[in-house]
Amino acid sequence: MKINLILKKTVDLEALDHGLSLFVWRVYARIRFRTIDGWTEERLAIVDTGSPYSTIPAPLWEVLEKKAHFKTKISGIVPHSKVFLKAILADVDGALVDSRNVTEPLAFPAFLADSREVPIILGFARLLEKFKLVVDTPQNRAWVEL
Amino acid sequence: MSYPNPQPSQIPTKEYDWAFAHYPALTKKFPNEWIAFLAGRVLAHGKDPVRVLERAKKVTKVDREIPTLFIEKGIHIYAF
Repeated sequence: MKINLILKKTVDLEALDHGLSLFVWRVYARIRFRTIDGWTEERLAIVDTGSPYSTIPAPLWEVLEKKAHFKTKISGIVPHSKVFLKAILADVDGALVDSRNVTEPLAFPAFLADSREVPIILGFARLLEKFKLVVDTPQNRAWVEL
Repeated sequence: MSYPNPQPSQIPTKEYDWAFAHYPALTKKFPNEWIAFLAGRVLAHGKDPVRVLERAKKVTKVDREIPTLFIEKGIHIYAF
């Protein structure tokens, strides 16, 4: 099965202010999460091959069917011990979708962040690791294959 | 317990194309906020993705899913 992804290519405004013409690329997948009685509406999530785990912002995860494992802290590339988000690592179920196809429900671990100001991120653990991921930037297309 | 099966996307890709084509302007207006949009128009925006979608549903009367997007300001590198 093939699920089409969405490639975003936008101008980096900060670089442009410095006379540089650079683009910001993102790869997005459409995903639905399992709730207690069904599935959420489609949400756009960043496909992040640099992320070991997925992340879901508050309060999106509050209505999801989930199994919490432990509380933790997540941080980015800023090397400062005080720069982090509180999160809970939990198992959730999701299904990648496009206009034609839907994957089987996939159970995967995700950081349930206590912040609302983060995007949905899809990482490797039990999710991206299950797919063949193709990103063809010259042709402006991307997809995953199961 | 049996669950309904998840359904394919109901949102045409062109809806997202509009948001990405206008991303620089959206970044200036709604930095690090969630937006809900439809047919080339931002219906709602804010810090809470759930409330943003709820407000957008009240604004529009169409019976279909509404696309949402987190507008990143600057270069965000997510590494855990």
